[in-house]
Amino acid sequence: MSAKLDGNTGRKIKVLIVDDERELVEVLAFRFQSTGAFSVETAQDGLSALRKVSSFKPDVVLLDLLMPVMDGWEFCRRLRENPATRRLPVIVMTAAQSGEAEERARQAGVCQVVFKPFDDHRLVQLMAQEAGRTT
Amino acid sequence: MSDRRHLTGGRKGVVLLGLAALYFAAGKLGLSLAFANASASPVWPPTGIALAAFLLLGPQAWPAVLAGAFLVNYSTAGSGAVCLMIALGNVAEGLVGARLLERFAGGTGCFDRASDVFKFALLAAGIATALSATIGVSALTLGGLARRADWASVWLTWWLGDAGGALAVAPPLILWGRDATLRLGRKNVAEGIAFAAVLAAAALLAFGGAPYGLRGHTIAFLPLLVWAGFRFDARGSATALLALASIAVWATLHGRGPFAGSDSNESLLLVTSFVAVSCVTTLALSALVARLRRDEEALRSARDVFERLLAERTASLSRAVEALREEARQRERSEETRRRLAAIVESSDDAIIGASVDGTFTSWNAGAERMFGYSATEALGRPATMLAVPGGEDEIQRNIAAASMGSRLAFEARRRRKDGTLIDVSLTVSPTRGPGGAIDGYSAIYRDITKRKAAERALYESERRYRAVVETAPDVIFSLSADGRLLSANPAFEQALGWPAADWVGEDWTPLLHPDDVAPSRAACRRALEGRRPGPPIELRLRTKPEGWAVLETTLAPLRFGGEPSLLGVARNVTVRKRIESELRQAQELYHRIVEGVVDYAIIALDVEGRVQTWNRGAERIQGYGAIEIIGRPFSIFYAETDRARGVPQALLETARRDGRAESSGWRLRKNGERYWAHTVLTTLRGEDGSVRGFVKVTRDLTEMRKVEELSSRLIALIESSPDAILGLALDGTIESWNPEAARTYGWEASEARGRNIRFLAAPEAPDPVPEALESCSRGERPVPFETSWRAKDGRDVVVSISLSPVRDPSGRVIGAAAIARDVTQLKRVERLRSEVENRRRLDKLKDKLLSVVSHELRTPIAIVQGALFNLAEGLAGPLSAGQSRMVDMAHSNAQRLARMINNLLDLSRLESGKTIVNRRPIDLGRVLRDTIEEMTTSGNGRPGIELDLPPALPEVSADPDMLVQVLSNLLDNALRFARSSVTVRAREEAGSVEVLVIDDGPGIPAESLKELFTKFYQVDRPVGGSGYKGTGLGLAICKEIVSLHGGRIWVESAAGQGARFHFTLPFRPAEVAARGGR
Repeated sequence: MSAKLDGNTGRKIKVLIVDDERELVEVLAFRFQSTGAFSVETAQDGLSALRKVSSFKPDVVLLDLLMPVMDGWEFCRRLRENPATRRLPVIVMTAAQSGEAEERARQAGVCQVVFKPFDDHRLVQLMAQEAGRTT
Repeated sequence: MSDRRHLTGGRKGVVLLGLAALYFAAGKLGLSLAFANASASPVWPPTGIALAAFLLLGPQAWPAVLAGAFLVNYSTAGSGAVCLMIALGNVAEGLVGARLLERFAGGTGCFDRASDVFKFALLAAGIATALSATIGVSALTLGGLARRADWASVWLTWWLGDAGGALAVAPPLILWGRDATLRLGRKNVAEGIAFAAVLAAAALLAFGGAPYGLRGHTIAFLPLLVWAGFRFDARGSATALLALASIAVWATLHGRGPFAGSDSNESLLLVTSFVAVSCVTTLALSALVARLRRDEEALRSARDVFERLLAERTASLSRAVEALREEARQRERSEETRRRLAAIVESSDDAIIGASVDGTFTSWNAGAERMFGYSATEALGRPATMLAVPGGEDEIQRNIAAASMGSRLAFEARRRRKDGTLIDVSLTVSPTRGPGGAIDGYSAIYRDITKRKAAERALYESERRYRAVVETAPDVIFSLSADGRLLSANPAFEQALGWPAADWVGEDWTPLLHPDDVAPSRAACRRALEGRRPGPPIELRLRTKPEGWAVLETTLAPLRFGGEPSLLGVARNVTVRKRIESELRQAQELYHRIVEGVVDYAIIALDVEGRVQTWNRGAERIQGYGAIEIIGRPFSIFYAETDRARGVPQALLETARRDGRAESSGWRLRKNGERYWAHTVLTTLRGEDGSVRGFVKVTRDLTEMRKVEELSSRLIALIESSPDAILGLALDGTIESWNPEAARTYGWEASEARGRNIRFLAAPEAPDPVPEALESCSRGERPVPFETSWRAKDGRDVVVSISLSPVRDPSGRVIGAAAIARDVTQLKRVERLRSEVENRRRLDKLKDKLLSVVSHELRTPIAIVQGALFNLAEGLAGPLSAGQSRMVDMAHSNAQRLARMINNLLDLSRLESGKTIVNRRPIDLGRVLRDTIEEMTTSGNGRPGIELDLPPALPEVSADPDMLVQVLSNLLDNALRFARSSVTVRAREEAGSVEVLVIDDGPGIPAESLKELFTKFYQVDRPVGGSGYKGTGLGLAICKEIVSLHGGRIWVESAAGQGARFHFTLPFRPAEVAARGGR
């Protein structure tokens, strides 16, 4: 797996992880950074995430939905309003149940939805896959 | 001809006084003109006045003249004696003048003839005045008032003055005094005015003085005088002359005119001459003209008389001629009449004969020939008795004798013809007279009245017959006068009323009438009299002889008999009929009242067709209709629509028609649509000939009874089918009834239970509250339901809830009790169960909610734990020792298991609550199978391989792909966990669906587990092969839910030690179904 990711070296995949659960953010950030293939930035709410998007210019965003200040849906909407970030891949992580959330996320232009708790292997795969589409 | 007025008394005094005054005034006027002598006026009008007065009044006027003359002169000059003398002279003058005129010139008529006019001028104006002048001048001279030398001239003046006065003044006075009447026509007045104007003009010319007058033109007056003489009568001429004279004198005295000269006497002489000539000629002319006129008038009237006489004579002549003509005409006419009479006699149908006094025929006309058969030649000269019927000669002789005596006879008789047949004749016999007026025979006119006689006989017969009819008629036939007297009545009158008709004929019939019938009878009489036809019959009550009343139905008709309006009455005695009718009516009324009053039964008469004819109160009560709205309508209206459609009412009618009676019961309809249970008896009414005339329908409303019956049968059914045991008990507890449920519950049949006491049911060890409850029932109370235990026949104890209630007979007396014994054993259990179910449902809900909330909240921490452990296990946080690695692996895999469990739990709970949305779409099952298998094999390390066994072509199915994958992965996951060596996935088409099998070669599933394999949290206690991975106990339950949602089936086949075969089916998608169906 790491070999696969490493195969894309030369430039690290820039990941923006947005979640108000700091520990989850930390675990995920630690993992992506540990592989050496990712460069990670984090945010605890949609608004600060938007700022990070413009400063950090991530390749992919890993996004929680229920957050203070600005939730994931609003973040997505703002992202899609801006031509510069319209095509930025977003992977939503949700504790909600499948079905409704998936449908709504698709409408918001979200690429993938993963349900907490997620399969860790699969998550990393998804990240690389989505990031690879834009790069 | 004397016009002298004889005056007497006061009137004479007045006239004389007036005359004296007039004389005095005129004298004063004359004297004012005197210039020769104060008393000798050249113009002396009083002379004329005196002359006229003496002519008109006679000598009686002398005092007035004397007085007037004396006073005039005395007031002028001279002594009384002189004046008296002068006055006497004046009187003498007048008296003598008048006397002379009367003697020689016709008196007052002196102006009617020209010769008399001249005599007037000579005698009155010439001679008489000389007398006055002589006396007067002498008196003056004697009195010294005139000189003797002047005597002649004064005398002349005096004489002329008097003559002038006589000529000018006397004529108009005399003439107007004689006849003062004025005959003024318009023409006369116009001519008079014209004349006056011309006279005035002429006077102006003659006397007007220098500016106008032309001396010597007195000749101009001549035509005027001629005009006056011709056109006006003597009065007009005299008046004109007076006027002319006055003008002439006045003018001359004032020195004007042709006569005015230096010597006034001369002038006066001239004027007087002028006046005298004018007067004499004019008056003479006037007299002549008047004479001429009188002669003309006489001639004219003579001619008129002659002409009248002539006309009278002519008229009488023509009358005589006309009379002659008329006479001639009459003569002609009478001859014509005679001719005609002869023709009439000859041509008459009547026999007209003449006979001499001795009775032999002298004439015999054609009518006689025809009537009697004798020709004229045969008859003439034969005696009249030849016409006599045998033995009738005497009658004829008597008639001849009577006629000969001058009698006229008219009679009817019978005569014999030549051929011997007899003939009825009407004859008139009258005497005839000869030229001297003596009776010389008689004439007879015979008229054949045989036919009339026959008709009379027939009439007589007919009348007799009529009479007989009237006499024997059973009806009373009578006649009434217009004022209500009974004129005649037939014998039936007595039969009907008991009075002999003779008692009432000629009497007013009003007392016979019932007082109430008097007015109607009079009205009917009046109507009949006014009308021409019989009026409608009226019923009159008439007094009968034994005290009572007879009712006569009477018809009155106008009767014209002998000119007097009267009435014919025909009356039928209907007393008996009336009585019967009245009784019948009463009976009918009674019957009607009875029927009418019946309230419990609807009693209705129907006609043959079944239409309602009568309606009583019962019918109104039961059926609800009022008589007015129902009569005439068919009785089928009482039936429900369905019954009518089935012909029920008609069938009932038919039965009654056939059998005379029909009966039926059933639900019928009231007017308001309400049903009632009717019991109806229909009875046929037949006429005397046996034909059906109608029906009587008697209906009772048995709804209440029917309700009670229905209620009791329903109650019985209720009791029979009751789920409770219902027992009827006597008050001592003896069981009287026992329903089927009681038999079912306690095992005792009704036949076994009845008659036994209720106590035998009580479970031996339990207290029995029934007797006590029964006792309270017997007091009429309703004991509170209680529970006790009864023992069934098979020894079971049954918990029963018993409610007891008293049973009463209709009078209210308690005669027993009803016990409803409910088996509450089951009920109690069911109650328990129900509360449990309720509880479980609530708990389920709580659980679902809890699950959903809790698992949701659990997700994030698990994700963190899992993530952290993953990082450790992957060595991202640094290398681990073998022991550490083992621990971390264990923690990680169990965290994963926990996450799976939570997901499964949520999935299942969502599926069960029906909140899951199924996104069906056409799916290529083969591809999904291949993808899933590939996934499973790559992700599971060291697992057994999976074989896929697919037919060449699989139909598409309709399914939610994610759910399908979930089912497949669950099944494969299970299979891989338990398989020893291999797992096979097989798919095949199976009856409209695709069946998928997942087969493993594991230890199999024990039989007792198969049943609950798909319930949640169930985990087969079986050895796990492979990885030792543990399930959640939810996978199969989820599979079952998903497959069910897709309309498929899932099941398992297995036996211990023989592996397991999991099947599930998915139906074709609809298009596929259609395509397959078409194959």
